[in-house]
Amino acid sequence: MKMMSKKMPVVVQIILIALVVFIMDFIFTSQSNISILVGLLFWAGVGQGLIAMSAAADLAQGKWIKSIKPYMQEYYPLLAMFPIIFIIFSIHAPAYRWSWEPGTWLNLPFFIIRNTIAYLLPFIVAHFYVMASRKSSNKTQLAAVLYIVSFVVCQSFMAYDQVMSFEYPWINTLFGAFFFIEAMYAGIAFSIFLTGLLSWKDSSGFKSSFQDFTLMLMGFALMWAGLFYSQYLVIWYGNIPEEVSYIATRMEDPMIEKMGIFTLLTLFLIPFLLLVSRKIKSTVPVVFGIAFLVLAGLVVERLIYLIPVGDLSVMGVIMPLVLMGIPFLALLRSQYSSTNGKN
Amino acid sequence: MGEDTRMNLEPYFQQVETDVLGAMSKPRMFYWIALAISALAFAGGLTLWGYQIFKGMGVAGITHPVGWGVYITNLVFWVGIAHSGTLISAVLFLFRAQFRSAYNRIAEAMTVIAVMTAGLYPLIHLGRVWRAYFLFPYPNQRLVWANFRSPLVWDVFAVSTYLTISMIFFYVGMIPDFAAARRHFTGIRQKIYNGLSLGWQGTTDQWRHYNRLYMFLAAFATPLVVSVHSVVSWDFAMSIVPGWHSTIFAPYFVAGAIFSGIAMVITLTIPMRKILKLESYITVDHYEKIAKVLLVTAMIVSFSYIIELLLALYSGNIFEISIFKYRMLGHYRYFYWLMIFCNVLLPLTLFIKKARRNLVYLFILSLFVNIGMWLERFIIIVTSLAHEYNPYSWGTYTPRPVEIGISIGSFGMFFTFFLIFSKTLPVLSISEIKEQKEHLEQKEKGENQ
Repeated sequence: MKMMSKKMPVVVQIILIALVVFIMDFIFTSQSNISILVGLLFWAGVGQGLIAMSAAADLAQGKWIKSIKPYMQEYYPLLAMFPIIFIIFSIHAPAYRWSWEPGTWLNLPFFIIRNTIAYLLPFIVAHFYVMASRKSSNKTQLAAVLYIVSFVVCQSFMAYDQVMSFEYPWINTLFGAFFFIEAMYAGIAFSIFLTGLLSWKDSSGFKSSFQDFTLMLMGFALMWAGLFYSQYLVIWYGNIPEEVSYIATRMEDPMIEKMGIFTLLTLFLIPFLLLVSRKIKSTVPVVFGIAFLVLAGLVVERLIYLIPVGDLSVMGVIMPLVLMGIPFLALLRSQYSSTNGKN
Repeated sequence: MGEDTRMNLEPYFQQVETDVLGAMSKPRMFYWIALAISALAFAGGLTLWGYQIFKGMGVAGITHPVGWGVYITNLVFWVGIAHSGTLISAVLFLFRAQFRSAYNRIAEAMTVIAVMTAGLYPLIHLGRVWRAYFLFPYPNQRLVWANFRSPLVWDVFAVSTYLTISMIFFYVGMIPDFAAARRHFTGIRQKIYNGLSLGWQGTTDQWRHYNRLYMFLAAFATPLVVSVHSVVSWDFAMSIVPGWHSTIFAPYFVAGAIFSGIAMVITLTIPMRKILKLESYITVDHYEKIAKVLLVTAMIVSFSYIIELLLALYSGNIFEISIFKYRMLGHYRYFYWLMIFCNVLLPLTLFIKKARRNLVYLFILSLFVNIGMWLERFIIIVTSLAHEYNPYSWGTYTPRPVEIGISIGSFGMFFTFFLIFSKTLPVLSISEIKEQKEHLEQKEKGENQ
């Protein structure tokens, strides 16, 4: 992994991973199998969320993130991976039931074009934003705003178009906002690893950022719970059969029910309750564990969305999830190795 | 903190106290005129409410099919205004945003007054106000309990909790300033501020306890900001009325509330800083920062408008499509487009730095946002009820003079209390301004060394 990140340019890494994902997808899954979407939704959330956090900090002129921001911005080239993976996923697009009776909005060619553009957009804007930010140009703030807009657009497409449309005509107006908040949550969880590892080597620059990220993690746990409850309560209380069926289908399946409890624990209760303690907030290994649980919870939540609506296979889910994670972990490792210890 | 720095800053500290507490000195004619107009409007509103109680709800325009009209619009509007107080104070405190010190006291006062104003509307709307106790859970032998499944009862809990915490937060933040006021004033005022300062001496122990409590209250108040307006949004979203039953309503209402609250803070502070001569404490830089927050919230509100409309079209649900068409092209179309202009288009001008730093422009824009946000609530409430499922029961609603008069009266109440606040309590947090100056000096000293 270390060798990969040091010697191989990101473009080559991405092409290689896309190729392996494509081959694995071809070997392990059928056309109706949508497993690859789990990894795509998850890692696109992490990558875009990382840059979104950096852009939000630039807009708010947040000083607490200053030391870690350049490291977060190094992940932006990886966003180029997602339009390619989405094109691979489009092989499975006939799994959407609406594709059998295409309409003006929901038809396969248009669906593939608009979503590819949606994935491409944050990458292109992130490039200009990161360049401006590195030069401390006076256009940084404008570029940050544009990145946030492209991020919101892309995450909304992921939510409404790629996930919600599996159950057309079921709608949930909060789904898009829920997705981009979750992406930022994932970005924060990943930043915890980044900041924590760097603070081990150089405690002077990163320790306070680490503590601020743990606070952000706690805040987002609460926000996640608020947004989750806002959806659940309105649908459940409204009690309209065609709406409630979405929740009922998932609650009737014992396995999905357990997965639901897992997400509630990992995305809200565990991070919120544990991070109340000041001692835990500054204990790096425990916070690492919490951040890992948050990321695991987000993967499981994506499974909850997709299990009732399409074919999924264990290998089909795990392989792309691991493969797409490799460049992230490789970069994390190279950042850790290249930081000079000041302790 | 070095003693040297503190000694050097002593003249500045004296100046802050003189400026802020000086603003509480004998009012000028302009103040009395403003107070008289507000009090008159308030008294007029109370009289009209009395008239409505005496004559019955028939004097208001609300009837079938629009049973919720201007009164509920005003309730949501005022609860929304109340939001930014806690946002500016608590949330910005937690985020260590230094520009909060220019607005926090004014925003907190605005919160308390706006919640009290909002609290009147369920009573006004109720008609038979003496039945208000039905909303509260009270021990009784007749087993007539409040309907806990009703979001209106949740409202009572949410708003009363919010009011309680906001008042405590407001009061606790003022304790060190009351001690300063105690030194500044004489006679009866000194006695009152002495009592209110709870024996504050500014010892290290007191500051430690104070900071801990303030942090706790800020952390406690932040989720409350979200919960209160979420509950208000559920008054609508829990029903299955087209245009209301939407999961996005809670965050959309919260963002809208913060948006309108910040606009109201700008509306109040721009003339106030001039009248009370506080220009050196509430600077153009402060306005630029708050204008950015206004822009962000405007974009969240715009996102919600777009998503609601697009998903109605996407779903193919004829009732949802019909209600959005009605909003855009029906009886209330001018209000709808004015709302879009005020809440979506006009705030986009804040991308221009010059606009953010022009206080006259900001003041006018904030007035438009207030109008736009009031209209937003009116459109949500009235159009959905006027154009529900069955075309046979469609209708229109026009507010009657009594409703308009009571609404003006509520603005009168708000401004009356606010004007009284500006002359009786410190409008800026003296202790925080001093603390910030100390930090700044320390930082500069550190950089020089």
